[in-house]
Amino acid sequence: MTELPGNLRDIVTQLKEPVTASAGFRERVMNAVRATNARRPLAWIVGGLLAAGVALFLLFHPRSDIERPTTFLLLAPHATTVALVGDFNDWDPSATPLQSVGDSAWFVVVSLKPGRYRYSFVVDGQRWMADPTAARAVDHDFGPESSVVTVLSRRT
Amino acid sequence: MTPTDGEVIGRVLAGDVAAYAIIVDRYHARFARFATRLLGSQEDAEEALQDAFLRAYRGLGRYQDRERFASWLYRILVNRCRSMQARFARRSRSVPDFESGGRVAADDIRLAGREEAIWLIGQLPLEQREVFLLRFVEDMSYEDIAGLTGLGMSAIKMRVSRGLDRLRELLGGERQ
Repeated sequence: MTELPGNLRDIVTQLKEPVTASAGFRERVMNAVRATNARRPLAWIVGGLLAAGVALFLLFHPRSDIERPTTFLLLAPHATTVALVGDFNDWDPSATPLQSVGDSAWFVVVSLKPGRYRYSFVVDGQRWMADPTAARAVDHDFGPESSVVTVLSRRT
Repeated sequence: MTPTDGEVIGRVLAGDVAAYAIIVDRYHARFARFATRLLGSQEDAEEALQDAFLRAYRGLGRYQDRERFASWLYRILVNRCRSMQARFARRSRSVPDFESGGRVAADDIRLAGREEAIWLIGQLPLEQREVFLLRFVEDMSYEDIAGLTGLGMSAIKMRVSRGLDRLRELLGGERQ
């Protein structure tokens, strides 16, 4: 608090006032916890169908030069959050979170115009890692290693 | 004697799922405050916090450093709040008017209570609000904030400094 001028200390004091959880919050959390084990097999099935659907869509999508849905996948069994950062979102870890499927798979579909993009994954908000299944960028200038995805203007 | 986080987690992993309620009771108040101040809505904060508790539960078996559970849960919560904010931004929701620039009229600010303090902090961009809350409301060190957010120390200090400047500017607008 020593960094704060007096009038800001008043504000911080107000912000430190406790927030009381709404009635039933604990029960909602515990119900969700109990339900999570039962849902795991279903999550894998839904995730598999979703990935297959995206793959088919990408395969048969009509030719055009407009934005194309581009899928990014990462297997990160120990992650609690994964985000996608790249040239297309100003390398902002909060802009493009991946969705988890089951216990280890993460994916997101991003619409990208034709071009070459560098990107990385941010695991648990801290660890930057290149896509292990993609080509590495040799001209990365944003610190950690990154990968490259090329979105074609026409399908061949 | 109150069990440690590690002892509770051990019980949960041994099959006593109900013991996880001890963890929820232990941390929900502190974390609910942070999420509520960050997101500006208790409803959204509870959604983020519930999701964080759930993700932590799913990851318990893989998390080795059980006595540092609180830091881990904080990190998950920070990321859930960021994801939620990104979702809101895409829906053009919860974007404070002040972020578009300009100056608040003196009559708009009355620093008389908590509601006004919440309004003021809501005028900061998310990245500044996040580190301001962690530093001054949660009383974390810069090192701890770096561990939670994945940001470098210089980036954190810059965001804190800009947040303070912004708040001073707002307060100055009131008192001139």
